[in-house]
Amino acid sequence: MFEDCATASGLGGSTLRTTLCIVGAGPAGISLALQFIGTKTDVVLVAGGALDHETRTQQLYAGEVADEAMHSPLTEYRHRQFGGSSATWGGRCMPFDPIDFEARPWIEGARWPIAHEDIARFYPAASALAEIGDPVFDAREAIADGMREMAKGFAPKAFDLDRLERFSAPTNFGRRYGERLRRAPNIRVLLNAHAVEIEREAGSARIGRVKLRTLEGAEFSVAAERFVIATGGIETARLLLASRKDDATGIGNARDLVGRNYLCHIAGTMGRLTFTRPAAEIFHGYERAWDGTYCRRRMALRSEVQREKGIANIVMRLHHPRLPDPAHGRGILSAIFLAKPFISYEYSKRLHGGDAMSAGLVLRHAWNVLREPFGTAGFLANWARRRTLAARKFPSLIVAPRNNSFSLDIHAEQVPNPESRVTLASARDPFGQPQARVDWRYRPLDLETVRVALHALKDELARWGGGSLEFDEAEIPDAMLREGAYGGHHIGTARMGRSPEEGVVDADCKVFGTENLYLAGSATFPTSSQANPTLTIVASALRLAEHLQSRRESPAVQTGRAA
Amino acid sequence: MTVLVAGASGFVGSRVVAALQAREPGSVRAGLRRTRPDFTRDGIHQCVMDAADPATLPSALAGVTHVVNAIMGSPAAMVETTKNLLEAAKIAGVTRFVHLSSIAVFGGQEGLIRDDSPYGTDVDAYGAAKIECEKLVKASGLEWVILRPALIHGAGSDPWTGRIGRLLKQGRLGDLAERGDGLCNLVLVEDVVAAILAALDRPEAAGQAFNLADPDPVTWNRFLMDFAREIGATPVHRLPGWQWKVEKLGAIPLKVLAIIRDKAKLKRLPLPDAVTPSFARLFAQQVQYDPAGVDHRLGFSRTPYDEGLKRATRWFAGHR
Ligand SMILES: Cc1cc2nc3c(=O)[nH]c(=O)nc-3n(C[C@H](O)[C@H](O)[C@H](O)COP(=O)(O)OP(=O)(O)OC[C@H]3O[C@@H](n4cnc5c(N)ncnc54)[C@H](O)[C@@H]3O)c2cc1C
Repeated sequence: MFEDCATASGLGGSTLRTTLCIVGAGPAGISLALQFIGTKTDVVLVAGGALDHETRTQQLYAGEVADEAMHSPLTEYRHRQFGGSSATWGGRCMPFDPIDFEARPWIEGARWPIAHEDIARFYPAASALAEIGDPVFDAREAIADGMREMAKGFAPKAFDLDRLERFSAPTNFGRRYGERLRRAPNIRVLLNAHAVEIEREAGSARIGRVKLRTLEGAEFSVAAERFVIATGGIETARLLLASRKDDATGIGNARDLVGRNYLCHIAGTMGRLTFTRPAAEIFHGYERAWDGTYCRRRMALRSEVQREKGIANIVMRLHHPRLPDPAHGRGILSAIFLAKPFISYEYSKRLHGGDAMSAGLVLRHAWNVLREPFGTAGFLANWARRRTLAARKFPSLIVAPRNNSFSLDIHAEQVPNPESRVTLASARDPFGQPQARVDWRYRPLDLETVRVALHALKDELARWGGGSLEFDEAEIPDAMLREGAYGGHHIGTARMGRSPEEGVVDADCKVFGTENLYLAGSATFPTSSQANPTLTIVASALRLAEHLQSRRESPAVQTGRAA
Repeated sequence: MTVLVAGASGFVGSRVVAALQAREPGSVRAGLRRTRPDFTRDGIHQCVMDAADPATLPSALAGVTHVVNAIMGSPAAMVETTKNLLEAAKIAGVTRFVHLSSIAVFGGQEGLIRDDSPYGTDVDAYGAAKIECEKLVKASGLEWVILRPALIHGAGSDPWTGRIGRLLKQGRLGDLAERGDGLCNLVLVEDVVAAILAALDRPEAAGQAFNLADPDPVTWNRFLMDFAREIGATPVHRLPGWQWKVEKLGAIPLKVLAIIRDKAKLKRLPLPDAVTPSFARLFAQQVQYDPAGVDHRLGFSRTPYDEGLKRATRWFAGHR
C-alpha cells in the first residue's frame, strides 16, 4: 500500500515498526521489495520522493562538485522520486564479465569477495524485471535467424563482436511495479519521506531506527529488524557518513572507506574507422529479438588481452560522427545538433559536447539540413513512430555515415581509486544534513586502457584489410574527459570486501560492524566493469533478497504503528 | 449410462458429444435444434429438441440417465432453458445433471476464489443469468454437478484463441506492461471436456460446483508474449498508453455497429474485434481459482501449459 507522508497527519514523532525497512525506491529498492510480496515479512519502503519528478524534492540532491568540468552537478543524472533514476535511464543492459570479479594484480583494489556466478545466477530474473527479454547476450543465439554481422568477414582475435547489449523499454520501475507494491498488504511505500540519519540501538551493533523527515516538517522514524539502504551510489555514502550520532565518522566508516573509490565510467567518442568494404556489408544498428527487445553488437576487448596487456575492461561501438562537427554532412545529425535546447541536459551533454553554438556553426548545420530535406524529414517521422510514440523505444540515434567512416563510441571500466571520493560538504540541505561533495578522480590506467584497445583494434583492422582506424593518441584524454565522468553510473562508494579493511560491506552486503544494516546498489560494487550497472544492481538486489529470506529471525519488533 | 447433451451443436457441447461417442459408441444423444451432417456421418444419435419449448423435451429424455447442459444463449434464454431442462429431467428420472456455468458468477472479485466462494456482487447480465441458473440447478432436487470453466481457449475458441491471435497479429495486444500483470485464467477446451466426463462418472462429484482454470496461471503478459511467439506475431509489440485510449474510443462505435448488425440479422457480417474497457480490465485482474476441489474430486489429467499453447496455435494457424 502507498502512503503519502506529505499529506498524512499524525506522523510527527511517531515510530513505524516493521520487519524490514528499505530506504530508496529505485531499481534496487523496488526489485528487493517485490521479492517480499506474498511473504510474511512486513516491509516499509521509503521512497525519498513523490511518484513523479518534483523540483523541490529534486533539490534535496543538491551538493558540491570539486571540479565542475569533471563531474556534472549532483541534481543531474539522478532522480529523487519513486522509481529513482529509472524514470529517465537509457535502458542499456548487459551483464558484468567473469574477469570483473577476478583479482587482477595489475589493477590495485580490483577484487570482489564473491564470484561472477554468485551474481550471474540472478541475471535471468533481473532481465525479466528490467524487461530486456530473454537473458541471452550472445549474437549467435539471441535472434532466431542470427544477427547481421557488424562488418562482414571481420573476425578479430582481440575482440568479441558477438557480445550484445539489450535494451529495456526503458522500464520505469516505479510505473511498472508500483501497482504490484500498492496491492501488497504487507508492503508500505512511504512517499515523500526522506531518510536523514541511521541510528544504532544504544551502545550496540544493532541499528535501531532510521530517522525520517518530510519537507512539510514532520519528523518520525522507522524501527525494524533489518534495514537496507538503496539510495543510489552517491546518496548511500552520504547517508552513512551523515549518521554520526554514535559513530563520529559515520556508520560503517571506521576505516575511512565510505565514499572512497567513487567510480563512474570512462567514456567518449573518438577516432575514425573507415571501411573499404561496401556499406551494405557494414551494420551498426539494432535488431529486435522475438520479444521486441532491441539488441546491438559491440566490440568487447577479450579478457585474455586485458590480462596480457595489464589493462582494464572496455567495449567500443561503431558510432555516427560527432554531432557538433558539421563536416559529417548529415542533415539529421545537424537537425539534432540544432535541437539542443529541446533535449534534456542528461542526454544532450554527450550528444552535443561542450561546444558553444556560434552563428557560423548554426548556419553550417542548417545547410546540412537543407541539403537533405527528405532524408531529415523521413528520419524524424521514423523517430516519432519508433521512439516518441512507442512504448518499447528505439534506443539511440543510428545514422549511417556518408562515407562508410564511423567514429568509435567507447565505454571503459574506471579502475578503483581511493582518492576519487564522495564526502560531506559544509553546506546543508533543508533538513540540516550536510550535502554531498564529489571529487571525482581517474587514474593513468583508465586512459591507458583506451589507448591499448584502440591500438589493438587498429592492428586487427590492418590485418583484416577491410578497413582502417585513424586516431591521435594525444586526443585520448580530451575525448575521454571532455564531458568528465560518465553520468548516471555511481559505483564503489561502499564497496564489498572480505574484511573491514577491504570493504564497507561483507559478501552478503551487510555493513561491517553492524548486525542488521545492509546496502543494495552499485555502491557495493568494488569494480565498475565495462557494463552499465543497472542489470547487475537488480541482480544483486535479488541476491540480497534471497539472503534476507534465508535466515528467518524471531520477530524482536512487533508490527504496526506505535505512537 | 445414456447421456443427453443439450446444446450439442455448441463449441463445448459438440466436443462433449464426440468424446462420449468415442468412449462408448451409442451412449450419447446429441440434443440440438437442427441435425448436423457431421454427427449424422459419425453415426451419432441426434435428438431434435428446443429447450425453450418444453414439449420437445420428453422424447429427447426418454431413457436418458445423465444430462449435460451446455446450452449457451442470451441471459433470459439460458435461465428459461435451464428451468425447462431441469423439470423434464426430473420427470424422466435422470440420475445426474451436469450443468455448465461460468466463472462469470464471481464478477470482478480478486484474490483466491474457492469452489464455495460467494457469488460476486458486481456481475454483468451474463453472470447474473449464470447465478440464476446455478440456483435453479441446486434447488432442483436432482443430483447435480456444476462446472464453471474460466476462459476456454484452444481449438474452436474464437474469443480466447481466434480473437486474441488476431489482435496480436494486428499489434493491438502484445506486451501490456503494467496493464498485463493480471493472472491469465485460461482452460483448454479439451480439459473442459475431460472435466465434464469426470463430472458424469465420479460419484464423489455429486452436489458440488467446480471452478475450472489452470491451477498455476501465468500472467497475461507471459501468455500473450508466448502465444504471439508461437503464432509468429513478432517482434512482440509493447502497447503504449495512447493506444489504449484509442482502443477505448474505438470500442464505442464498434459496439454500436455490432448491435445494428445483430438487429439486422446480419450475423455473418464481419466486424473488427474491439478491445472494450471490460476486456482490457481483465488483463490486470488478480484472481486465481483454487484447484484443490477439482484435483480431489474430478481428478482428470490436465494438459500442460506448453501443450495447450501448441494446440491453440495449431488451430489458429489452420483456421485463418
Ligand atoms: C540519463 C541517465 C541514463 C542512464 N542510462 C542507463 C543505461 O542505459 N543503463 C544502465 O544500466 N543504467 C543507466 N543509468 C543508471 C541507472 O538509472 C541507475 O543505475 C539506477 O537507477 C540505479 O538504481 P538504484 O535503485 O540503485 O538508485 P536510484 O535509481 O538512484 O534510486 C535511488 C532511490 O533512493 C531514493 N532516495 C535517495 N535519497 C534518499 C533519502 N535520503 N531517503 C529516502 N530515499 C532516498 C530516491 O528517491 C530513489 O527512489 C542511467 C542514468 C541516467 C541518469
